[in-house]
Amino acid sequence: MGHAKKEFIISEKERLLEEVPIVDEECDRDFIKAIIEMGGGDVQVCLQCGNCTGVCPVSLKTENKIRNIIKMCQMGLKEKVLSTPWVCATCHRCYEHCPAGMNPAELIVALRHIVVRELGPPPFVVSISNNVANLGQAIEISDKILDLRKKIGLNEKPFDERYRSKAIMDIRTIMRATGYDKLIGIDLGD
Amino acid sequence: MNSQTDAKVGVFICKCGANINSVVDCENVRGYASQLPGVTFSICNDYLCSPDGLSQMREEIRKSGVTSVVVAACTPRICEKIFRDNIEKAGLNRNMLHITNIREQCSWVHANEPFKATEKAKNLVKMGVSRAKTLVPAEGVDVELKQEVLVIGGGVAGVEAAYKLAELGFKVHLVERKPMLGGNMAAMFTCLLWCHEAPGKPQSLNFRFGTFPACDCSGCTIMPKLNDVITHPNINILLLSEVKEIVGHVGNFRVKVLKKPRYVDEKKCVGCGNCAVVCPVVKKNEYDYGLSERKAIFMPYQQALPRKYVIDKEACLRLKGQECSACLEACEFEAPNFEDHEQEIDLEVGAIIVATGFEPYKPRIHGYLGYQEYDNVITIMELERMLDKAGPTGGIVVRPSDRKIPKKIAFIQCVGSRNRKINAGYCSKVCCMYTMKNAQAIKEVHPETDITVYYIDIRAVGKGVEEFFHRTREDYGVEYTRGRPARIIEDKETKNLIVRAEETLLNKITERMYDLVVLSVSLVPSEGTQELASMLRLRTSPDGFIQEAHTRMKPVETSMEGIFVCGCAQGPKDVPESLAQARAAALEVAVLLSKKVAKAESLNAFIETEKCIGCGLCIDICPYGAPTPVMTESGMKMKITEALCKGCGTCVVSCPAKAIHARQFTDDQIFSEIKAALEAE
Ligand code: SF4
Ligand code: SF4
Ligand code: SF4
Ligand code: SF4
Repeated sequence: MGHAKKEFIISEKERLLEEVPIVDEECDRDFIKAIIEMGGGDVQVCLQCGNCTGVCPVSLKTENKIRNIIKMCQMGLKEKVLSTPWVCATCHRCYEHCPAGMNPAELIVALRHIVVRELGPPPFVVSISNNVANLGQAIEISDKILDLRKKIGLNEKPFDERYRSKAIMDIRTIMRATGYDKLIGIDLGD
Repeated sequence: MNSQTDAKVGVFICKCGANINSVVDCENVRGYASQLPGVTFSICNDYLCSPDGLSQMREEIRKSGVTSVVVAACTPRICEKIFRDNIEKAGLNRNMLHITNIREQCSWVHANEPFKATEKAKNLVKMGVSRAKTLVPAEGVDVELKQEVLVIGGGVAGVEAAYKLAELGFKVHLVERKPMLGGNMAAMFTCLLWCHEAPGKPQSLNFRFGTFPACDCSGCTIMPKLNDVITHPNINILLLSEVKEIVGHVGNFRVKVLKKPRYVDEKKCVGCGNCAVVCPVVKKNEYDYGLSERKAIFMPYQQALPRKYVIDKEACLRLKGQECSACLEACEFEAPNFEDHEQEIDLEVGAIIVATGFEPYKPRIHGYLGYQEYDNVITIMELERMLDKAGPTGGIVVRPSDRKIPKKIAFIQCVGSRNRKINAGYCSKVCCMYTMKNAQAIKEVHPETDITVYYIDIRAVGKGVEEFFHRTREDYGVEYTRGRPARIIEDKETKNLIVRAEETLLNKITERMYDLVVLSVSLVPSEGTQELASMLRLRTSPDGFIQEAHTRMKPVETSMEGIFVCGCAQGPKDVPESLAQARAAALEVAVLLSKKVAKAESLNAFIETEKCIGCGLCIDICPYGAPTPVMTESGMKMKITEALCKGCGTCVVSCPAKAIHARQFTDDQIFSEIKAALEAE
């Protein structure tokens, strides 16, 4: 990285805490083009008022502030931003409140597209996708739950297998048709 | 004159410096033009519209004895009048001119294809020459300019414009919807805090807070002006009045004004208020934003001018048909007049100034930030009224929920401004400053108050305003926090308010508790602006304010000749700006009317009476209301009022009998151009 070498002497401890300045090389201004292509077209609309962060349930609980993500996108801080987009509930509250009329939630979706295409899907996305393709739902029902259901006199499975298998076939057809299976790397057989 | 054969055309080609000449080969066009049949000469000039260019043009016209002129230059929108005036000076009829646009239509749009642009310019000149040969002289019509002016809106801008014009000797009709003059400025009467000895000691002796940045008292500044206007012999004030209909054109507008009954004789009432003491009806006072109560007979607020009482028709028992005459009995002067009725007043004026001002934005419509949901969320205008010593709370800022003095106050900026979901997203321009002013005013009375201002950006431009901002932070200790509040939550028991926002400069979400939240609301066009605009055929900008004719060069003119705009009707602005604009509008009116008689360009359509079948289609279709029916011996015929007609030609194509012709676009003229365009080389 191209930031100027520190000339003066600092202690080892301070060196560890040292905040590394952001330098030009990190700002990839073409990144905005990629975002726009993926459907996050209004990223430049944001005037950094902070309203979205104030209403965002995720920003309230984590260090990930949606306004910061938008700002980083505007600056083209691609590497920093690509680790963030999974921390969003896509609840669209930010969109409801934004006075500028930007849709930060769609930006997040665009970023997810970019991550999956450029860095590959994170493991949890693969496993969830596998579940959807094979079970028709994102989370597996554990044996414990199945046992419990039996014990209290419920149907063993909370759904009708006949309809479920039809639905799963449909889901798999969609996945094949859209190329989702290849993108995520799940094997649907033939 | 057989124009086709006798016509001698002179062609003037303007290079417009490099503007045209760098793309279009002007010399080439000139050579081509000189070969065209009927062309006596053609010349190029570097800047045809410059004094040198114009005088060369006149010389050539006189010398050569041409009968008509083709100018190949920029858009007629810019240069038409200049060139028509010029050929008139050279002795030709002003109608004998054709303008061909070889800048916008050639050099600008085809900048990358100089050859083709030049060919196109030649073609346009050829068409122009062909048309020029068919032109016939025409005289513009004389329009008498009525020496009276209508000013719509009695706020600071309207009052100023009316006063200046009245001083110049014009008769001015000042129409105001409310029962008093002064508009929004007169309601910001903070100065009285000092004049009437504020509770809590003011820190500085020159403590006056009316309008920023000088903080001079708006009341003390506007009252003398209002008095001047009220007593001016040239000003006819129509209160409680609305413009209902406007027809006519520059120099002669006919206006219908509806004057609602006051039910109190303006001449008799001395404003003593004895009537209100005895009136049994109590209502919330809308002029104090519901913070105070009033009677059915009332004065909007204490310093309202003129000091005349008014009866609220909806509230008055007597007017609702019940027994009551308490006010009449209490009034020494027998001013209450229950027989008062609506009047229609007809005016004839030469020019109109629109000064309808603004209204504070009411957040309730969009139900956000808790306004009218939580008691202790108020707008800045309500705060302004509270800060008025003669106002609803006697100059003390209180929480509406328990009338206690708030210790912690939050101001929220940009409520209704810079919000594309609510309007065009414009900045209201004055809210940053009125917040500073009011924060300072509160601190003067209650120095211990803790004030936070939530803002997106501080837009404090203008003379002395940045310093005003510093004073707010440094001398008064107001805290500024950057971030637009996301939510306001009310503590149900204490009625305190929790404001959640991101402090964007810290990247932290904050939740802070306040006793009172003040919304710094935006300025929106006053009610009825849209209707008035369509009545006057004025354009409005996307933000709903009246659109001026040209953003830079014609700041007070509108799309309609003879109608001007000033003050907040045109867009948010502060008092000095409104005043400056009002004076500018008054000057424009004075310049216009000082001629007494004006010549309208002979652009109009005319009707061949023999051909007219009296169907009246043109009446329906004309956007300017120019055609009117007249009774003749051979039945109903239409006639076009020349001064109203803009020459748009809509009626021409609508006429089934082909009886209407546009003077500047006769079939003859248009076909000659088409023929030239289609002719083989
Ligand atoms: S969509 Fe995502 S970023 Fe927007 S408010 Fe919901 S969780 Fe926050
Ligand atoms: S609310 Fe809109 S304008 Fe404000 S910071 Fe968020 S995205 Fe940007
Ligand atoms: S109406 Fe009569 S009593 Fe009422 S303010 Fe006027 S003069 Fe006084
Ligand atoms: S007549 Fe009407 S205004 Fe007069 S005192 Fe009675 S209610 Fe009030």
